[in-house]
Amino acid sequence: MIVSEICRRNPVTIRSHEELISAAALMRERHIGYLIVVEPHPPHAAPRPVGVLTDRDLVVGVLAKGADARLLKVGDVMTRDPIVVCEDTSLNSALAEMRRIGVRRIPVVDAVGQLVGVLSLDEVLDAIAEELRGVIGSIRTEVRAEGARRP
Amino acid sequence: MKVSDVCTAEVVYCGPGVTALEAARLMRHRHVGDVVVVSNPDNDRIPIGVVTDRDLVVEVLGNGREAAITPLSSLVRTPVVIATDCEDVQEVLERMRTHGVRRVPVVDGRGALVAIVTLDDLLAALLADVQALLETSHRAQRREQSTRR
Repeated sequence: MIVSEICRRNPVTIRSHEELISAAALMRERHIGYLIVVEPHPPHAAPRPVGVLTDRDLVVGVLAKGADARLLKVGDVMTRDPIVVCEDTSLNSALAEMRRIGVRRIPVVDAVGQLVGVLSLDEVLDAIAEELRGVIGSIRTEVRAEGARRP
Repeated sequence: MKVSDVCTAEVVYCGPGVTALEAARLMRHRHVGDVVVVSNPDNDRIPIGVVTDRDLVVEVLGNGREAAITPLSSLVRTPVVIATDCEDVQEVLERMRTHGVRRVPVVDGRGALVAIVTLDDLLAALLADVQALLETSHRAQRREQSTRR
């Protein structure tokens, strides 16, 4: 399995100059905890990831510090230059990379670094469970087939 | 498999009067993503809800509320979904699915908070079983190779 087969396309993005409050509102509206911060680069080209912002970043980096969220921009809190994986990476290597840096979600880019999606552990688990179901189905078929062949 | 086999005893909890700001600090210092709100932290520790880091973002920051004056009692969803330590994990999985939660406080026979069980805990336990299954299968194959040359 490669990353492009299971990553989610069209991830929710935000720009670094936007207000932090808007980021929190966006997380609320879209029912997500992860925003990819993008900049068009070069202008008018497809967006590239320049940062990521999680709901946890907002708790640990803003709320817990007693900072006034109204005065902050996305760029003030985001993790800059996030590690990304290329869409043709094997799932195994992508997981190894996520394990190495200790994240549950990672931006997915194409060969020239443009954002194409996000890979999250939830989707990986879903894909693996699907494969497992396939294996279990084969085992059941095997048992039935043997039963039919040697009644 | 029982809940007590897989749950995490290091659960962070506090009373309902604790503010969103204090909860955020607790989450930061204890490296957790949730705190269990209990009726009486020093005594009976009956869970009344769970507040996650996400709740703080969505309900407080996202709604423009002031973290320093927002008590957790105004953020918890009731009734709280709980598990007992002697329950079977299958039942808890079912309950997580029904209610759409990933973290569930674990109580003892008297209803007092003793631990927390997360979907990750359950997944790890499940995968340990799968791993054991694979090892058994490999061993059976090796045994066959060595006994029927």
